Amino acid sequence: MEESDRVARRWEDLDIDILVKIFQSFDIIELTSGIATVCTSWRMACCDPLLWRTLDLSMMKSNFIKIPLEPYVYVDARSDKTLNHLLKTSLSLSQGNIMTLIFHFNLYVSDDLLTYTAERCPRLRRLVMPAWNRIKKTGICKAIRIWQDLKSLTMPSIANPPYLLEEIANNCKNFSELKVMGPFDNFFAATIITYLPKIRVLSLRCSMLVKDTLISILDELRNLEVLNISHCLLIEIPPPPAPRRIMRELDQCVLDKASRLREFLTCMKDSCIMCQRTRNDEGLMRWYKYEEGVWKADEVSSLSL
Amino acid sequence: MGSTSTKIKLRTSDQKVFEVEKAVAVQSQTIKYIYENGCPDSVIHVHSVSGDILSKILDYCKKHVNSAAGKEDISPEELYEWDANFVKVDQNTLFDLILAANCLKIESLLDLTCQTVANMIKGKRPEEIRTTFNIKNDYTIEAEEAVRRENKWAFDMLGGVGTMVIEELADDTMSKCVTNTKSRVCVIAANQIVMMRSISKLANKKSIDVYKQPQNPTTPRIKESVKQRNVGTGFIELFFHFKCKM
Repeated sequence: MEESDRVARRWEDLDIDILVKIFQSFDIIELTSGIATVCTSWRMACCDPLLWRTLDLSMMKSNFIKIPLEPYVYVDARSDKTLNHLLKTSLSLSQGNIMTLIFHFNLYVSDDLLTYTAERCPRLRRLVMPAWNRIKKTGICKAIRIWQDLKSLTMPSIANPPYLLEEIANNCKNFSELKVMGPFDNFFAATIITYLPKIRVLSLRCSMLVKDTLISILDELRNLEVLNISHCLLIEIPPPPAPRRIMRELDQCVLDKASRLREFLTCMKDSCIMCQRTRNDEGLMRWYKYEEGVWKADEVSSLSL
Repeated sequence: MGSTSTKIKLRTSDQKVFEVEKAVAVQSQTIKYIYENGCPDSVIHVHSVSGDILSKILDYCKKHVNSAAGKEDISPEELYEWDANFVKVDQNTLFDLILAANCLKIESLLDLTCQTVANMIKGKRPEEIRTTFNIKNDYTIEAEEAVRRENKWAFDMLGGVGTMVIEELADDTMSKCVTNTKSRVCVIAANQIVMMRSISKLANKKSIDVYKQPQNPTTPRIKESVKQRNVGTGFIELFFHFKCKM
């Protein structure tokens, strides 16, 4: 019929925006499995910033066992290798355009890998990394120093936060959102008050929180706009000899102090399954026991995944 | 009934003229814009689309307009099936449909055709993709080598492979590699100029075995073993394992 019907179309010359649109439907594993090596124009499409705004590795877990000594997890070498390879290829294709980086709570990133990653996504704005067992102080500090645009961090509870928060305070001028997954004690709160007094969003959901700590947060963090203490196990420690007790509801004092917040997110219902789970797990949520993906939720929209 | 039966005339690149209902034609944002901002009576030129392709596209638009307006009794599942059959065409036609959907700005059709192509790509290795779409691998040997080398030493730094190969690196980069690697074995290529004493010192501290490829690899005394490993992106990495006096 038409002459043009017999001429093969040049798929390598397909408009780059169309190629990017096609690649947008690929998950990270498909995207890094070799499409970039088909031809140079497809590689260029694979490197488009649109595909790399968020690098979501939350479908990957380490193959690990728990051990009684530091770092308390031992990761199988092959599992490390898979992650290394995936991350390496992603970082190479992303060309420094990654803004959000997400890891699963059972993905134990090694110190070297963290540094390698930080160097290759210097413009990172949001990090979600709930497992720090294998991260050393030097590694995370080096990474923070590179991430000067860091705005939002989701981290596990750590015993000694000052070195970290100081590093953030010194390097990340736009830092404003913090989510801590795990028990949150007075020391952590005091550290935030010292080093990150201008913080705007704080999520402490599903953890254990003492009333005094909550009061000090509400009193001292004057720039705080959003506070999430949903499903937290709230403990009141009255002066001795009165025993500790679990608070069933927030008293007027707390509510008054929290009234200046733009959003004060709470949930303390006995019927709420997350509240029950926090109570059963005594404030240290065992996410692995629950449905896949339930750890990702957060009542604060900018912190949910 | 007046406005619903407004017709729009479209002329294709091969001079075919189609008269279609306005509701169908304005599925294309491009045609909609031209119609609303130009003279509504004259013929709209769609220069980049041929008659055959436009005919197919108009079928698509008509089906979707009718189904949305309830003029046709078709369930979402049936429409989905219809769409799936719509894209069962030869590759050239699919290509042309994508370009036309893009240029005419028909978002749902562009989504449909792009997803079809995505499904043709998924699960295939690069060579298979090239065969399917008749794409020429235009990576020059140098470019591919450069990409491979860039990936290789970085990969090795993370201990991703058992043996680390060092070639064409500056001294400080090399020290960094040896310091950070988790490999137990390091091979330094023949052409690499290296301060052996300083590297050996670093390597000894970390209990890494360092081997240097001799200048002349065909010396009969040298035992060699070749390890070949596919690292999944189609790059094959070769590690030469030489033992020689340092």
